[in-house]
Amino acid sequence: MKEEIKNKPPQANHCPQLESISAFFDRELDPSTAEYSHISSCPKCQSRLSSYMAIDKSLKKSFPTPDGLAENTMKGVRAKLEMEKRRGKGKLLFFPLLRVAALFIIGGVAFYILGHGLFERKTYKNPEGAQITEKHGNALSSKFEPVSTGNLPLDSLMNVNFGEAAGMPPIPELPENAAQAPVPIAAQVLHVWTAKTPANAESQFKTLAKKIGINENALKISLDGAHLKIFCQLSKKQLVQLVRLCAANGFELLSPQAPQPEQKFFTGSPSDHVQYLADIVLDGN
Amino acid sequence: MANIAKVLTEEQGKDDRSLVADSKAGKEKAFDELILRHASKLYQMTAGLLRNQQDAEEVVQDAFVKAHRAIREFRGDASFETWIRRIAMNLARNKYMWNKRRGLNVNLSISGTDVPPDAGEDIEELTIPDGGPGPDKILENEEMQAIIEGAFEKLPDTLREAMVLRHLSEMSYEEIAALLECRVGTVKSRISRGRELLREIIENDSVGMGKKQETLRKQE
Repeated sequence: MKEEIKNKPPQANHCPQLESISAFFDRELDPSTAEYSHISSCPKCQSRLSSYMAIDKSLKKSFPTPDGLAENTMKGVRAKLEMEKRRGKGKLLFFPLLRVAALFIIGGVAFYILGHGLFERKTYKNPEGAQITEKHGNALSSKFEPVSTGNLPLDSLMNVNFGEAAGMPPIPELPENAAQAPVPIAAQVLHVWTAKTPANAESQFKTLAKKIGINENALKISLDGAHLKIFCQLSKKQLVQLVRLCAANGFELLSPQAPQPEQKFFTGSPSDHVQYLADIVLDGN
Repeated sequence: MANIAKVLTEEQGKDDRSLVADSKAGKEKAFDELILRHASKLYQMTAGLLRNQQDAEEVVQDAFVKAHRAIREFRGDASFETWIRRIAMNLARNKYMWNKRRGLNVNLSISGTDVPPDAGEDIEELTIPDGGPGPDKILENEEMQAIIEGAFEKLPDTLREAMVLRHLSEMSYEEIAALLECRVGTVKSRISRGRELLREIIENDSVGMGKKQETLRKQE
């Protein structure tokens, strides 16, 4: 259809190409040309120009500029910039004096802990026979019961076979030199990702999430500029699986925060809850 | 208030290049003037692309926020207008894709679609007959306005973008080519094809609308 229109012959014997009539309408046709003279006097060309004019009027009518748009935009931009500024200031946390005081306190606590050697080393072997050594702080154990994290390595759970979703590749095997020491996973994890195919990023993420048992309805999705933000609550086990799946299926992880796709052992219980925010940069910048 | 008005007036006398230089130096009033100067043009473009007032306004604001963040890195190779248009265009495209995936942009109704499959195959036969109401008259009809909006919705994205930049942003072929990073000939072709496709869709729908009205008259 497009080709038909593009290559359509002139209307009458001497009517120029439609592109020229269109350019005439836009005042982009050289007035010194024969085409220009023809269009100026040809009734058929004039009829076509009338329809272009009608289209132009209609489109302009369809999208009127709201009253006070410029002023409202200025206010909106100012408000957004102010909000950004506040967020930036919030990161500083303390006024200068308070910051110095905080440094003294932190330094004092660190000195106390190091000076008393209150770390206890715990050694165990993982299922592959490698010896793992962990430090556990118990400086306050004489006064308080330590909080049990279980310290269960998740490696045994990593090899669980998932149901293969249609068209999705299996979860890749970990490389031989994958990190062996257990790493902690925070209660809130923010990962910035880029997607090889931004147009499909959302649907692909949903598919991967579904594969590890996270339903589409459990994902809170929003678009902030070129950032696709997906929030969900899941277990540590699910998060580890999700990260590895994403990394193997067209997403690239930019954040250094654990869990990383190549990490194999984690502290805590596999069922621990994690609040996860995936920030997928769609324009790749 | 009077002082603000005075300052704004002073800023109004400057060209974009000076305002950008002042913005780089941290003068917020200069950036405000850039917003006041370009917001409407950007809105026309984003509204045409997104066909949703709220989304269009949001994209315009985000474009200026992004420009404010990056103003120090703006080298001035292109004009500020081209630069901010490009930012807004990219944001609008992202938003459009987002809406499209979610089916949020289907807010225009198309009426009079009971057209025989072969109607309108030949554009030349479908020019509005002499003596009948001219296109301007027909467009006064709200239903026809809806048809045109619906037809515009049906255009391929590349053609629609070019038409928005020409009809709503009133940019020259050269400016459009610079913004879309393509050749002037490509712009010329896209606009022409867009118009012809639009004419075709409108005329098909107009025929359908005419037949519908005729049927209604006969029933009466």
